[in-house]
Amino acid sequence: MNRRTTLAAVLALTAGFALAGCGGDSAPELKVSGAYLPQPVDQSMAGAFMVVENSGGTADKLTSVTSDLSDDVTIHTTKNNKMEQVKSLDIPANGKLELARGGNHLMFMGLKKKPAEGQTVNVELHFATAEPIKVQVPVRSATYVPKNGGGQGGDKAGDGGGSGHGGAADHGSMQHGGSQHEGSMDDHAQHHAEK
Amino acid sequence: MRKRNLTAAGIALVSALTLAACGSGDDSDQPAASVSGGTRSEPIVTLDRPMEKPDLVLTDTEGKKYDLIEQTKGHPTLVYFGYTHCPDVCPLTMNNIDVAMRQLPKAEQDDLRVVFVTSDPERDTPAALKKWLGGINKKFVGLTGSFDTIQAGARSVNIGIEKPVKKKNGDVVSTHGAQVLLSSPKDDKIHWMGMQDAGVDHYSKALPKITKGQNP
Repeated sequence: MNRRTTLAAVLALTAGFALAGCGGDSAPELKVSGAYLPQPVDQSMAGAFMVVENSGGTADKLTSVTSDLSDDVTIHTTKNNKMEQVKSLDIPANGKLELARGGNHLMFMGLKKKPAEGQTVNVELHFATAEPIKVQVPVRSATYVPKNGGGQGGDKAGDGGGSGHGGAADHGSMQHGGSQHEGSMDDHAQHHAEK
Repeated sequence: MRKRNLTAAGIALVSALTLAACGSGDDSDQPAASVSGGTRSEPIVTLDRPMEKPDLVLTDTEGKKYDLIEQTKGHPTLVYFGYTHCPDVCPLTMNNIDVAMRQLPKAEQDDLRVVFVTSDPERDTPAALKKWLGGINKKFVGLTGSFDTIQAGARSVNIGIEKPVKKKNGDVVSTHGAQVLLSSPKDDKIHWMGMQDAGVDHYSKALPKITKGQNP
């Protein structure tokens, strides 16, 4: 069983490389889930988050975004608390691209109106290979963080969209209270629908 | 930290391999889609060694001089370094604090000082800070000044911020601090830190204690 799994993994890996290497003929199959846009502070900007899953055998890229909320939508990453615009984000074959609190996000500048909680924003995602996907993004409260993600409590690697930054540990000389909990943060993710 | 770094490195490596295979070397400066930390700390940490508040004399949203140590003396105080051109973590942090603060009795709300120090003073003028903070909580204090002064103040409490960099495409890359500093009204020292994953519930539970100078 173990051996078979390993073999399968190796095959999958090889296949993945081969496909990615030569463009492949198994198209990316993308699905968007968990989209939300926290109600912004004002009309100058907003961020949005979601997960793009790729069940196809070929990697794709999120290359641009259009929306009825703003004519200026860009793709950003956040590394070490530093936000930076990027041209595209990779969506691995048989993997997913997570746009989550504290990490990758869509940034809307110069909003045509200030979106309010309960409303919906229309967004169209454009990819290098796959056809564009239209997403109706719900506007949530300013403090909303999804239960399983958003750089919050996810325990499992790749499941929580952990932000990879934010801990005092990033600053080396911090004194911690000493309690390091692993895998106990299920009740940790916040879900606040109202303010 | 080590563990997290290794995980991140592992993911980055896999990502790099994948990218290399795709021949998209031009994207090599991009991070992995998601970096998950293996270990997580408490969302609001009690420090073993309390710290002095940052000795910052800056300009508030009315354009007046604001001496952080002097004007928050005797008050439970929350200090956060961030910037308003920030769609994600900065408004989330400030809104989390706002929602939690509104659950306190009126007298304690009035006693609490919430200070937002900009890490992007060039864009965050007093007026810009006033407008942005006003959209969250008009009681919040917004401070701006010279970046070097602000950075030195942040450093004194182990918060790392970098000078905003304007890229060729006009995009400005700014940093925000990862933690909220919380000080006790008893000795005016920073005893606690709100980590980035501290949400409304964590602050709601902690603030009633912290405003009394007790460990949450």
